[in-house]
Order: sequence, then C-alpha cells, then structure tokens
Amino acid sequence: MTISSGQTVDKDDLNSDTNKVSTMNANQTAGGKSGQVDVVVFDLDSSTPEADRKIEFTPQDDLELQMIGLTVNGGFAGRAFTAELTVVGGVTKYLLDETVSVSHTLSGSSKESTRTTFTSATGRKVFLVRGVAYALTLSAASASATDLVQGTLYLRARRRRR
Amino acid sequence: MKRRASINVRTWARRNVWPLQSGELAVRPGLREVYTAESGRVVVAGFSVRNPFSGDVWHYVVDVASSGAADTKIRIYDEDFQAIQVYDTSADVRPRAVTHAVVQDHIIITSPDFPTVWGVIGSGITTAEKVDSVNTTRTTLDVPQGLCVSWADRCVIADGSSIFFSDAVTLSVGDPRAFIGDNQVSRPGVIYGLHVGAGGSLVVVASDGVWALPEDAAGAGQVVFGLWQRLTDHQASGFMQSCAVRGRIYGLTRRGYRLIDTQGTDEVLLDDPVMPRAIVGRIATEDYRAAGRMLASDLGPIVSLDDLDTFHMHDLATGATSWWEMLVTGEEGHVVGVLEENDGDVMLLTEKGGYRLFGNFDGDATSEDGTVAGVLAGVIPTPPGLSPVLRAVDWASDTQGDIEVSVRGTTKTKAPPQVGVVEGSSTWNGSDLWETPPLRSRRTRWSVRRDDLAVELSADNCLQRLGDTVDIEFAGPGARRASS
Repeated sequence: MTISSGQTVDKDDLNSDTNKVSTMNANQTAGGKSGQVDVVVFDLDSSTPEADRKIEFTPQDDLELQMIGLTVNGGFAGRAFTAELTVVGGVTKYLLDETVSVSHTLSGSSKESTRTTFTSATGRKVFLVRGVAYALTLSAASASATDLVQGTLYLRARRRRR
Repeated sequence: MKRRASINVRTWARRNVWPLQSGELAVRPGLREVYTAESGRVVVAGFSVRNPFSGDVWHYVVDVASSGAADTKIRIYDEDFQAIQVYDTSADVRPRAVTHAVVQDHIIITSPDFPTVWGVIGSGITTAEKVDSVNTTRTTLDVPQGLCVSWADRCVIADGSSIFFSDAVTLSVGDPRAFIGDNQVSRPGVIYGLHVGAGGSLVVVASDGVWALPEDAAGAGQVVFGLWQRLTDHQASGFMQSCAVRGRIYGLTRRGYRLIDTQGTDEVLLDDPVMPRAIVGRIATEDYRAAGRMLASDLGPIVSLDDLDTFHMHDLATGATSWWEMLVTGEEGHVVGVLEENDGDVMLLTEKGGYRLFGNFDGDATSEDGTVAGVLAGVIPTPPGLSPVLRAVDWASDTQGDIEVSVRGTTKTKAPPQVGVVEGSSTWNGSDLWETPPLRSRRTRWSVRRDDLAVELSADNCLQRLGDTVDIEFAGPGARRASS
C-alpha cells in the first residue's frame, strides 16, 4: 500500500499487514494450477495386457481430484468399459480407502463419454498426495477391440506457493 | 499538606491489555476477521493441522445449526479459508468437545457426540471404520468414540472411563483405526481430558484425579503396558476444563485455573477485584469449571466465559494476563477454538468467525468496528485513619485518542497531544521525519474523600502503550471525615 504525498494518513495506511491479505490471495490464485492425466488406448479389448492400458504417475504436489472421465469411440452398443484410479502398491489410505472409478456401457457406435466429478465440497473429497505413485487403468469387458478408449483425470493444485 | 504517591499498575486488573513483544504494557492488538461462520451456523470447535510433507496448514472447523437440530458438520479450509470439504457427521447434538490426533499422515477427529472421523493429512475425511490389526490373530474393535490424542505414534481414544490404544503406526505399517481388545484399559474415574505432557507421558484428566502413563509403556510391544502415576488430586467435572500448553497441563478450578500436573501450584485467580467502576463492568463468576471453557494456544491458556461475552488471555512468555472483549459488530467473543497460520501466528476462532491478532482496530480487512480501549483497574491502599482527599491523578499513555480516569465511578476524559503520525489528521510527506510517539501524561483533578480509592485508567486504540505507574496526590484528611 502506498500513501500519496498530501494524503491523509488513516488506520489502514499504517497497517502494513493488510498487504499480507492481498498477497495471500494473489498467491492462492497463482497456486491454483489445473492439470490432467490421460491414458489413451487404441484397439482395447479384454485381453489387452495391463501394461498397455495403464499409466502410472507420481504427483510432485498435492493435487485435488476434480474429475475422472471416460471417452469411447468406435465401438458397438453394449460394450462396457471402466477407468479406475488406484494407488500403486495398494496402500489404499491414499485414496481414503475408496474406489475411484467410472464405467460406461456404449449405447451406440458413435463417440460417447461419461465422467464422475468430485468438485462438490459436500461430496467425496480425494487429494492425490505428492510423492505417492498412482495409476490410471482402463479395462474393457468385451473380447472385441474398440478403436479408441481414453481415461482422463482432472486435477488441481490447491497448495499455496510461497 | 499535600502528599504524593507513585503506584505501580502492572499488577492491576486488566481489560483489553496485552504486552508488546518488547514487554511494554499496551492496549491489545486488533482482532481482524478473516473467516465468517456460514450463514445459519454456529462454530463449536476448530483447529489447524500442518501437512507434514508440504508444510501447508489446513483449518478444520466444526459447526452446528444455529437453531433446531444441530446437524454437526466438519468443514475443511485451506490456509486462505477456501472450502475444501464439508463433512456431515450425521449427529444432531452440539458436540461437548472435539479433539483430533495426527498420527503420521493420518488424522483422527473424535467427539463424545459424533462417530469418529478419519482421513489423510492433505486429503479428505470420512467415517472411521475399523481396520485389521497388524497382528491378525487379535480381534479388532470398532473405532471408539470419545476424546483422542496422538501419543507415541498411536491414536489414544478415551470413552467414559475406558481408554483405547491403537496399533503403533509407521508410514507403511499400522493404522490408527486398528484397536484390539487387549489395548483397552479401564480407569476408575470418568475421563474429561486427554493430553500429552512433558516427557511424552500420556496425561488423563479424570473425575478422580490427574494420571500419567510414561511414554515407554507404548514400547512394550503391541499391547501398551505401564504403571499409572497420580500427578495431582485435581478433579475434573466436565469437558473442555483442561488444556496442554508447552508440555504443561492446566485445569479450570472454582476460582480460576492452575497447573494440574504438579501438586501445590498456585491458582491464577480470574475474578476482577470488587470496586466501584465506571469504564468497564466487573468480570466474575461463581465457578469457572461450570461457566468457562479452556483452550490451548501457543501464547498460553485461554478461558472463554460465554455468559459475560469475554475471554481471558495469558501470555506465558511475560506472565501477562488480561480479559479481552471484542468490538467486532455482532461478535460476542465466545472463543471455541484456536487456529494457527502457516507462520505460527495464533488465530482465535469464535462461534461467529476467525480472527487474526494484529493491526490497530477490531473489524474486517478494512472497516473499524469501534475503538478498543485498554483498561487498568485497582484499589489504591490508604491508611484507614487518614481518610485522605484525592486531589489529582496523573497517568501517561502514547495514545492518539483519549485517556480516561475513573475514581469511585466518576470518569474524566483527557486527550493528550501527540507527535508522530496521528490517524485521521496527519498528511503524508516523504521529506518529514516521524518520531515514535512518547508517553504523554495527563492530570485529572479531583476532590474526593474516600477510604476505598477505586481507580480505573483507560487509553484508546490498539497497541498504544500504557504507563506503568500512576501518580496520586492527596490533600490530607477530609474535613468531614467520619468520626468514631
């Protein structure tokens, strides 16, 4: 806060700590970075090896899970798919012992997508903890290959940067 | 014949007084609102937890509906009070106490009045469900409900007269939700407080005294085994009557509070002295155990007295104590929790909001909700045979506002001139040199003959220094003094 020459000095001007509030807000805005993790598989079927339909990642910051989504293109009605987020090594506490997944069964042959959001403060709240390895895995129930299946996580860093 | 006396006022009863960091007596810092309770909700408890990996601080605030069923919820906020999660405890009574335990990266939140909650630091929370013990041959119990504390890498929960110890927890083995039957201990008294004392001992504040279990009892194996030591015969009768500050345990008594982890300690008496008053009313209650709520802060113990809309602060570093009253509009000053900022500063959490202790006025970020005045009150001892006539009172402050002096319930106001920056009148000029405002004394003149000289001294505005001494001028025995 700068006081102009000739300006009357009031209580706020003398309180330099007021600046701290605005700095905190600015830092919070700057720290609120969004990101996403994708796994895309072509010709996915029930026999596709796990290594070909899974991506492992280790967040370098605490990340708020905002959405897990699934997009499918080029299949046929009735085929079912799942995207699931897990903790590598099975330490389930890092997902609060909950199953985080989304499933979709095609109703036709055009592109379809579905998602589960976690943005409501009153709903489930899961953070991906930095330094912990997570995996996003796709799976298909059908033995017939589907052109393209994509699993997506939307993540947001809420941590304040200093 | 005139007589003068200099009286040290540092021992007088205080209202809205707090020492500066350098020790000078001053009007307390402002209380600046940084969090407002949700509409239609009343905050009943709160605490802050630092993420052991990232260093971030999150605030956990427990609130209930202001009318009707309590509908108790736990709200998690980040450091800037941006909501992260609102967890419904499914409880419909106002919790009598809420405690938490951080064990490694787990957090456990318990209350006698809602099911125990579990989560991971830096993530959300959910209902705590039992987890198998590391020793799978032992039967695990449902996660108990009651008071909790983190002790020797275990979660300890007290329910009535029973104490439950969880498995020991490391980052990869053990879980604070794993309680086996062999780790349940029954005590003779009802447990109202659970703390960790100096040396890491587990301290239980119960209806039959204060007991301690040494930390090495947790190292005997999976089952906790040790001998309980009776620290004092202090008997608790309700929740929120004790707290742990800097490894020492304080407990409310009928007249105030005292250290309860050692026998024979002196009480901190909380009643204001009996004397005529004009500036602020007297604070006193029959029994602080029944009327007060005790909270721990980094500064020292805090006692909230909701019936009188005030709370008592104790700065252990300087030994200074004072009752505080809040001037924020609509605020009653019912302190229910203490939050912590990332830099370690204390924030007070009341039923209606959260407040930082800084700045020079009460209010929110910009608006001032009233002038805070620091008040010192005491009775000047006089020889009863003298029955003197008070002629003058001299006292000093560096306030830019008013000094008030009250004798026997009559108040006189003086406005001392000040140098330096004067709020609302000084104009800024980069070439000016400003001077630290000096103490300026002001004399009020009186003609009062009294054997019981009750004096109140008051100065306006936060962080303004208050003089250590008051000068009194007498003019000999009064002409109409009472005869035998």
